[in-house]
Formats: sequence, structure tokens, C-alpha cells
Amino acid sequence: MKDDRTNAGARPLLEVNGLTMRFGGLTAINNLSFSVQPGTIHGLIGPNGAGKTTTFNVVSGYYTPTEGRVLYKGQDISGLTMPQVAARGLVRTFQHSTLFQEFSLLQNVMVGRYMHQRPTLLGAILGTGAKAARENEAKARETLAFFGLQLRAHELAAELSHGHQRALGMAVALAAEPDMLLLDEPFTGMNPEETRQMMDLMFKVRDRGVTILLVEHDMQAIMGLCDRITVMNFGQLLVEGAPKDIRNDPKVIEAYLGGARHVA
Amino acid sequence: MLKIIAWILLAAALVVLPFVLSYSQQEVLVFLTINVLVVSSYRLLTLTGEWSLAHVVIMGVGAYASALLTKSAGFPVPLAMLSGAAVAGVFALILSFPLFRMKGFYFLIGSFAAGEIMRLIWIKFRDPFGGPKGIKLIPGFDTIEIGGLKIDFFEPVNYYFLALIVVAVSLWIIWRVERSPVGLIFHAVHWQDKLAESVGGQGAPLPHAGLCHRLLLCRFVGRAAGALHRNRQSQPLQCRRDGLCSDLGDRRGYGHVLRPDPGRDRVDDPQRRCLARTGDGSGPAADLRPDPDCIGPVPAKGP
Ligand SMILES: Nc1ncnc2c1ncn2[C@@H]1O[C@H](COP(=O)(O)OP(=O)(O)OP(=O)(O)O)[C@@H](O)[C@H]1O
Ligand SMILES: [Mg+2]
Repeated sequence: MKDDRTNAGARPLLEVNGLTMRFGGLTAINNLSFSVQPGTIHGLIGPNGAGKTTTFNVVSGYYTPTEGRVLYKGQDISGLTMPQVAARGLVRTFQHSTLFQEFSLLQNVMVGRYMHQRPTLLGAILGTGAKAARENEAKARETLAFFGLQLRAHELAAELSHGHQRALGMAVALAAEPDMLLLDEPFTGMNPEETRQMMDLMFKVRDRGVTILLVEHDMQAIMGLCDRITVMNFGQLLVEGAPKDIRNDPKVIEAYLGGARHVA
Repeated sequence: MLKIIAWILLAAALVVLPFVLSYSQQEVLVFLTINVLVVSSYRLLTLTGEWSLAHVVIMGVGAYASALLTKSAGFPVPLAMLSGAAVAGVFALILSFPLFRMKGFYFLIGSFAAGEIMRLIWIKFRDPFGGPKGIKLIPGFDTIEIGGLKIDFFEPVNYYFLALIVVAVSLWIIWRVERSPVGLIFHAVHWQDKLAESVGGQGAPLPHAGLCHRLLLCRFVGRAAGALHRNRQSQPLQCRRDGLCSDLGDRRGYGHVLRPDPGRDRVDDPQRRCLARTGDGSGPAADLRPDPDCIGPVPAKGP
């Protein structure tokens, strides 16, 4: 079933070509190329500091790449701003729980609805956007319910446990109705049971037609979820393949052990 | 229910308030009312987490514009007030193009610089801005007639009610905006701009909303400022024994501008603090009203 999804013949949804990102003298990404097929969950893994988050930052428009191109739906999106990239249907989450802490859960998700609501000042004053606002609120509540957070809609985001905050971060992104989600370590702070539930939700999201690019250190989650995995090390592509190949690849094991020694 | 009662009580208090105050207190009340608007309009801006030091200067743009439009272009005062607000809005819109590229401390400094430039222009260009003393001899607000009801805006009480209505409407609009999705996005950009951007906030629409918001904001403030300027005219002129009156300039410490007391012909006692247009000049000083005729060309020499 899984292998059917990695239909190599189809046009990739996301293509990263010869991407290089330098910060002064530090090369965070070095000539990286990989592609993500539509309708798949694609893993991007590597030891700490490999450049995964930086890759996300470049793809999502937070940074402009030093060299190389990012193609999304066949179009060059390198150099676009984050809102412009989001408007094309590519939405990312952040590695550290990035939420509107002072907002209620519902308000957080409502911000995710922004692109679909396009509120105007005049509409706000005249109250003409009321119907759209109600529809968007309904959508936002639906998204909360999808993550099992509907009963806490009016609590403040700051009051959630870390795991729930990660879920809310995904809810905000999903509320924007993206075609592709970039998730940066969504399972940190979750206990094994929460991780398992979240994995089920990921499959559901994918089955809705959303393509997922996933950065995660939890190897069980990665191996269980991904159709295909790209491994990075020191900003470069190490190997790419199906989970079972990656698991046993000596280069990957070496990189992780080496990386572990670095970190320790 | 309790809320409604509270609102009604507040409204009643605001309506009764000017009638228990003296003339000069009423004038202070008008300024207070206008300043409520200036301060609360600042809130809409700070929702986005930015502090602008050009806020009050933009208010000044509205005031200067409406004053010049009445004095030099002969606009009727109500129209000039609205136009002044519009001019302030357009100014803010133009300024927002460079300023909205900055954030935080840089925005603060940028807005300060922009405000300072405008302030210096007013001070350095005597023509048409009147230099440090500001514009003088601005035509006053005409008495308006609505269905036989004459409203004289030299009367601070009437002016207070006008200001109160403008303030109430403006506050209501600010409240609406803040509670709307637009307000939510302003808040969102404040707390987590990157997250807001990641879901499309602050794409083309947001600066646009930001600009409109600026425009709107300044419109209120401009309106208030217009009101402020107009209101200056209702300051009673201070007249001296020799029958010369000084205008507002003297209150602000800019020295005296003396001109003949036009009420002198009518008010026998030149020692009076003067200037009752309709009254006979026998009432207590607090009841005296400024004479609009006083605001006319200043003769080269006093009598
Ligand atoms: N803005 C920046 N300026 C300078 N160096 C940066 C910047 N962002 C990232 N780096 C560097 O780039 C390298 C890659 O960092 P990145 O955050 O992409 O790693 P990562 O693979 O996400 O690691 P982790 O698993 O710890 O999240 C690191 O050495 C980091 O210090
Ligand atoms: Mg990272």
C-alpha cells in the first residue's frame, strides 16, 4: 500500500534543486536536492544541526536561498515571502511551540483561517463579514475537533501541555487548508500514547490529500509514517529511500552515531 | 442588565456634566473629550505591537490642514474638519510605505524622524504655517441652523456635544475593528509575526489592512485635531484696561498679540474681561463669551 504512493513517474509536488544556504562562513545547506511526491508523507531526518530546520526555512520563504531553486507545483518559489508561499498552499509549523500564547485555542486556529477569510476594515466596521466570520469559526472548531481539542476551545493556548501545544500548532497550520504541510518535529513533548494518536491523525490528513514533509527525531514515528525518507548530514544529502532501506543503511547509522557523539 | 444601566448612567452623566461646570471648565472639558480620542486611537496602532512617535504629529497634520482650508481656501468649517482628517489620512498612508518596512525600535525611530520633519516644516515655514506661533485668525465655526434650531459652536457646551458624538462614534468603530478578524490579525502579528505569516497573514492584504487602519486612525485623529483647532477660537480673549485684547498666543506663553477690544463700544467698562456678543456685559466673568468679531484683521495700531 505504502509503496504505491511513491509513484516515481508522477510530477513531484515539491522539488529542491541544488539548494545552498550560507550564513556568513557557515554553510548550513550544501547543494541539497530531493523531491516530494504528492499525497505522500516524506521524512527529512538527520543528526542535530544537519540543516533540516534551515531547509524548512528556505522552502517556506523565511530565507532566500544563497543558491539553488525550490519548485512547488512546478513553479519556482525561491525568494517568495512566507505569506506568498502560504498563499500557494504550502504551510509550515515551527520547531519550537510557536503559538499565540495569549489567545484562546479557537482564536489561534482562527488566525490560521486568515487566508480564507480575507477580512477587511470596512467589513469589520459595517459588520458585512459576519457570515464569513461564522463560517470560518465553524471551520476552526472543526479543525480543533480533529485534534481532539474542541472542549478546550476557550482556554488559553499557554495553559496547554507541551504535547497539546504541538497539536494546536498543527491545527493552526491545517486550518489554512494547505496542499502541503511542513512539520518540524511535531512529536516532541508527546508521550508514546499521544504520539500514536498523532500518527493516526497524520494518516488522516494525508488521506485528505495533504502532502506532508516531516522532520522528526522519533525514529519509530518516522519509520511508521513515512513513505519515503531523505537523510541529511552536515547540510548535504546523505541517502534517500524507503524506511526499511534507511533503517539498515550503514551510512545513516554512522551519521547518527557520529552525530550523537557530537551532541553528547 | 447591570451593564445597560451602567451605560445609561454614564451617558446621562456625560450629558449633565457640562451644565454643572463653569465656562472655563467647560472649555477644559472639550479638550479632555478630544484627548480621550487621541489617546484611545493610539490603541489600534499599538495592537500591532508598534509604537509610533508620529501619531500626534499626524493629528497636527489634520489640524493644520483644516485650519488652512478654512482660512486660505474658504472651506466651510465642517467640511474643512472632514477634509483635514482626510489629508491626515493620506499623509499617514504615504508615510506608511517607508515606515511599514521597519519594525520595533527601527519603526519607533523612523516614525520619530518622520514626525520631527513635519514638525520642523511647520515651525520653519512661517508661510503658510505661521512658525512657532501657529496659524492665527482662523475663521470660527459658523452657527448652524437645523430646522429652526440654531447651534452656536462658540458655545463650549455645544462644542462639547459635537466632540462627544465624534468621540463616541470613533470609539465604537475602534471597538468594532478590534473585535473583528482584522483586530485578531493585528494582535497575531504583534505576538508571533512569523506564525501569522506562515499561514498567510501579512501577505498583500495585511499591509493593506495596516494602511487602511492607519488611514482610519488618522481620520479620527485628524477630525479631533480639526476640532481642536476650531476650539481654539472659542478661547475667551483676554482684554486689558486699555481695551486691547490678547489672543490665545499669550496663554501659550508666546507673547501678546494685542488688538482692539471690539466689545469696547458696547461694554462700557473696559476693565471687564470682555467680549459678550449678545450679553450686555453685566454678568459675571465666567458667563462672558468671546466676540467672534474680535477675530478679524488686526489693525496696525491700537486706538
Ligand atoms: N540564522 C542562522 N544564522 C547562522 N547559522 C544558522 C542559522 N540558522 C541555522 N544556522 C546553523 O545552521 C546549521 C543547521 O541548523 P538547523 O537548525 O537547520 O539544524 P537542524 O537539522 O534543524 O537541527 P535540530 O535537529 O537540532 O533541529 C546549524 O549549525 C545552525 O547553527
Ligand atoms: Mg531543527
